[in-house]
Amino acid sequence: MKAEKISKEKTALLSTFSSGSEASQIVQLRQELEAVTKRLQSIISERENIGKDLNAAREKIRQKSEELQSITEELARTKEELARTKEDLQAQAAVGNPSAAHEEVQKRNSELNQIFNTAADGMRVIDKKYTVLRTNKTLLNMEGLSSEDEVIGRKCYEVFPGSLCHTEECPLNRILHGEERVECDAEKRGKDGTRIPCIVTATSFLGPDDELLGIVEDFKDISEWKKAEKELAQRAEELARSNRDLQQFAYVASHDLQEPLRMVASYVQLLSRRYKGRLDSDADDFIAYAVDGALRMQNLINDLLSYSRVGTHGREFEPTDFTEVLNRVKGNLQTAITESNAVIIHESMPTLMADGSQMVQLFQNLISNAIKFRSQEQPLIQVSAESQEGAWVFSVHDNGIGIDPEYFGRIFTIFQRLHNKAEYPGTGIGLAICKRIVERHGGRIWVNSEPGKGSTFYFTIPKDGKM
Amino acid sequence: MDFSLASPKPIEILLVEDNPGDVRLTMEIFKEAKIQNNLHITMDGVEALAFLRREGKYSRAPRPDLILLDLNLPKKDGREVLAEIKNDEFLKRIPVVALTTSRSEEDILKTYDLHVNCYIIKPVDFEQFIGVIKGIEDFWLTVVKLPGEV
Repeated sequence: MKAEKISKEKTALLSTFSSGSEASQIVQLRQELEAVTKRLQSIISERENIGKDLNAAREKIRQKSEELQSITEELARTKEELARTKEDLQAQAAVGNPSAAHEEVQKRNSELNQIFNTAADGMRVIDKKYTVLRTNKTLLNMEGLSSEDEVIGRKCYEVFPGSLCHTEECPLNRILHGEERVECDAEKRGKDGTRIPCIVTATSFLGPDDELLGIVEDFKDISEWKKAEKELAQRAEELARSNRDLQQFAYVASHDLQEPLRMVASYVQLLSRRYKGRLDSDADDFIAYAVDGALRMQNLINDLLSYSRVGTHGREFEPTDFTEVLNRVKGNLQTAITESNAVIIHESMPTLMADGSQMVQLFQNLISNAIKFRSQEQPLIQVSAESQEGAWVFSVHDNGIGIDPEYFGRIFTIFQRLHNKAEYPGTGIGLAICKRIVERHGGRIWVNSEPGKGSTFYFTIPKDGKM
Repeated sequence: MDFSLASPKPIEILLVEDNPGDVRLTMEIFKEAKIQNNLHITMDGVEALAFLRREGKYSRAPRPDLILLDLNLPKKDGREVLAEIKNDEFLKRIPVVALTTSRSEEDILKTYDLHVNCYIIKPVDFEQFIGVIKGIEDFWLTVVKLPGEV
């Protein structure tokens, strides 16, 4: 553009030369030339300035371009970040989406309601002012009500009154007094007055900051249990009565039979005493059989009486020193021990709640059996006691003839004998009495034995010592 | 000792027993006794007290030196008879032997509380019964100095 302007001015200058006077024309030309030169110089200077400006501008542009570059990079990074944020936000939105969350809450709520309403126990939530906040269907059924509306917002003691209402024992009162969990029995009343025995469990109902809002109450209907319990108690009472009757019967029968029998036995013996050898030999035989029969029957009745006395004439349990028991037994059996040359050894014995005289009878029967059923060897009888959980296990071990395992059960039955009377006399009452004594003490008795290798009789006596 | 009394006065014994079998048995055993004795029998408590107090048909009854008393009696129980004897100024020195089948601790203690002189359980076994009657005889009729002899 500037070159074009310069050429136009040259053309104007040449045309000036061709017209006018020469001198003045020259001066004028000189002046014009100077002016043009000046103009040219100024133009050049101007052009130089413009160049400078251009350079400066170019430098600025470069700088700007660099700035732009860094901004662009920054933008790209921001864009990436944004993209990531968007992804995160999208992911968050998928969860935190208000409508999806709402559905989720409803689903949970419905599940919890189902669980709450189908629970086997009646349940409700009560606030600190005895107002029912929630209740489940099971409880509505127990109360004899059909709708929540009859319950929610009403006082717990009006809706489902019971034996603990308005007392210090009221589960809510107890929790308000600082207990965390209450479990108790209560008799509640339904709308129609039905009495419902319940096990009530109450737990604190806490708010978001663990502050006590009220209680959650759980009612377990135990009507059936109570009914069964009552029936059981009735049956136990019937059994106890029938048992008492039987014991009484056995006692009366044996006691009353004893009287006439004593007459028979006494008079046949008086006959024998007065007339033996004075009648013929047949008479002597007959009298002898009569005496023998009467005496045996007396033994049986005596044993029956002792057997029934275990139940009817037992004493209260007292602290009983079993070492003392064994000493008494050894004293009572002194003759048999001396005659058989028996050795009786025992470890240290405990003191337990028991009927002492029955314990003497028990050990005496077992030890006298051990002596009676001895082998060829010198009788060695070991008595020991071992403390186990809940009971002491006593054992009486001998080196006698032993018992075939086949008869383990039978030997404890009344009047059951394994040997004939000529071999081993006795009625077969001893072990039956032992069993009754042990059972009266709440224990059990059993035997371990091998023929020819001796026997061990075991029995337990509970430590709590209840009849 | 005075041996001049060739035949001493027989000992008078009152047996209060309702069971005829026991009465007879006791009589039979006393028959064999070495000491001469007269055994008188009453079958219930009312009759026993009438005998002791010489009432009605017993107006000529002797005062017994020893009473053998069964505790289980008809009409008036042996314990009541015992209580009346021991509360009677005239009768209370007569030794009373309770002879009974009862082994009950309560009976034994209660009878001693009523001041019985001894309590004997009547043995079921005949030989032992003989032993007991002989024992009574030996102790009460021989060893013991009875108040009636004073």
